[in-house]
Amino acid sequence: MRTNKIQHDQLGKSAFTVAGLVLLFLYTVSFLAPLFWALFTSFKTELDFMRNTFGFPSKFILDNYIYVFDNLAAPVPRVGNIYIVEMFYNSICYTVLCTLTHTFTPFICAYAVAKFDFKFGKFIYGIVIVTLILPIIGNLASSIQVSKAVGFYDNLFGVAIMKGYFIGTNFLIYYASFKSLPNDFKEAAEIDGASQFQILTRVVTPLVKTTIGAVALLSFISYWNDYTTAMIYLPSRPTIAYGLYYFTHSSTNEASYVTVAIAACMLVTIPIFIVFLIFKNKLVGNMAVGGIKG
Amino acid sequence: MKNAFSRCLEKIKSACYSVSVAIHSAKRKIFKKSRPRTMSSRRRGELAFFIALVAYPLAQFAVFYIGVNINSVLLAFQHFDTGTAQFYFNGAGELFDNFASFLSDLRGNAARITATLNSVILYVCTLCIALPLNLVFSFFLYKKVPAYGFFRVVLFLPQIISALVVSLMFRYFVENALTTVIGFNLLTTKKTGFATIVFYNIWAGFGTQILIYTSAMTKIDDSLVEFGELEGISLLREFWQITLPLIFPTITIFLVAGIAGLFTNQAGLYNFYGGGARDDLQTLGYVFFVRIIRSDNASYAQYPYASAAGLLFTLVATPITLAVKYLLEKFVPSTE
Repeated sequence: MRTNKIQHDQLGKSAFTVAGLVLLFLYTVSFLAPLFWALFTSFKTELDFMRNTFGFPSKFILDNYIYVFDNLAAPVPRVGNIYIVEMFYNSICYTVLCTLTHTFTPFICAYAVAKFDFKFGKFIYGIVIVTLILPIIGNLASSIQVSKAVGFYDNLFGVAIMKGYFIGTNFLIYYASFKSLPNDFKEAAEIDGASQFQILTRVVTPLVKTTIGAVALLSFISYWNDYTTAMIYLPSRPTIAYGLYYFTHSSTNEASYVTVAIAACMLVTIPIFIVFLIFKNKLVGNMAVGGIKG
Repeated sequence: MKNAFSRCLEKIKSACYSVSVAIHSAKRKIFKKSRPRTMSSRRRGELAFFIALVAYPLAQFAVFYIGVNINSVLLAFQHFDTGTAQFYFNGAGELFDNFASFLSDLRGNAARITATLNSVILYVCTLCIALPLNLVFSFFLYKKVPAYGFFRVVLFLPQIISALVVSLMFRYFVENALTTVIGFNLLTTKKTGFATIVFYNIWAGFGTQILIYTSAMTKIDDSLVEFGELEGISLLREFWQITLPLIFPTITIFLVAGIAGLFTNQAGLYNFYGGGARDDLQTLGYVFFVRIIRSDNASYAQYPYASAAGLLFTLVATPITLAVKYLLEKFVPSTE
């Protein structure tokens, strides 16, 4: 098996390689430097931060984190403030439900379109391409209205259903991986007397499980970090991401201290970073999308 | 006993058979014209399963895509009455009022003009700087440069860490740390403010595209790459003449789908400033986002205006998108 490894004698030979590597290096530094700066800042007292903006903390303190843990809250109408533990719980519910719908809906639809030869399937594929190309802008207001009309507003399950479109890149990713599966599997299973449902669950799903995992991980990350949905559609279920937004943009309390705000940022980022580190190797190589011709 | 029973069974069977034949021939007579062919039972089973699979996705799509967009069009012709807290259709004389007020804002309102200009600048910079960088970085990851595993994680970090966190850290870093070094605040100075926002958008925009480009690159046939290596071509030529043309269909998706971003990109301003970004920093996407997100009458009153603007943007963006798609497919050589 051949790898595409760059030849070491090729390095440094052309301006292109050098320029590319330098850019890559500069970018890495420019991204990691503020990150580490923020990490150190979160362990400083406000006074230490004022005197010594760049350096190591003169004394590592956990006070900022303790303050955030006790005070990170978001207001819920008619209930009062909701605190960090409940917001984490809301975040987990919201993220898991949305990841499920956003992974499952395109999965079944792409399977139907890719593996069954019906004219209507081509029509569905057409819908995906057209909606991908058609730039529909400014329907947020209408979307809020519709969610209220069908009773999905401020309803966790409802919002998850609302977000779980089959259209979009997830469909194309699944479609590409189903198309690359040979039909022999399906036919062999049919001859052995498997039902269509069994073929899908027992034969096909295990074959594309890496793709499902990659799609699910990406959805999980983006829903964990998404605070605008909770802000707009879920007023009584604030998630931790929304809590962070509310906390860092309220000018009243000590949240206006940079050290405290950064500690809040770190606290929210750590869980998703750990999830990513555990699963990161599942992401690569499973996300191919073909063209959009047709 | 057994005989009688089996004879009885025979009779029932044959009776059933003749009934079914009768029904079948009657059916054929009735449906002869409309259904000349009948499906095999296997095919019918497939159809039933196919329908079971697509029913839910299509129902969801019908309500939350088609329904939402039809409602959005209708909304553009309505107004909100704060007294009754209800939406009403505009009368015949003022049917296009929302469109008219948006168009006059676009001409006369200085903030709206700045927002339009900013959106164009941001779009062009993303296209001319961010896209090439994404491609080059993806190529180097695909060629497995030294420490590529580390670079891969770093380039994906902007997607893992929430955009809110990245933008807050960027803002605090610029406003506190960088200001002590260069002597002025890049974000609050008018001259550099929007340029800093553009830089932020490119800097924090890596991630998904790199993931998808590198995946597409690893699907390139090894024999092509090997052939190039035997010919002794440089990395630049490999990038330009083998890799780029072969993954072009994937790039096309981002180019075509990205045009709507011209009107919808908020430039991360809501993360930076909440609802209170300065006028000289705003983009069109931000302007319309902050108008409608609150749940109060002032926000509801903006729904029709925002929907009308959205409808106009869609009408402008659609032909541009189709033209770009057409041109890309026509003038870029096929990858066969």
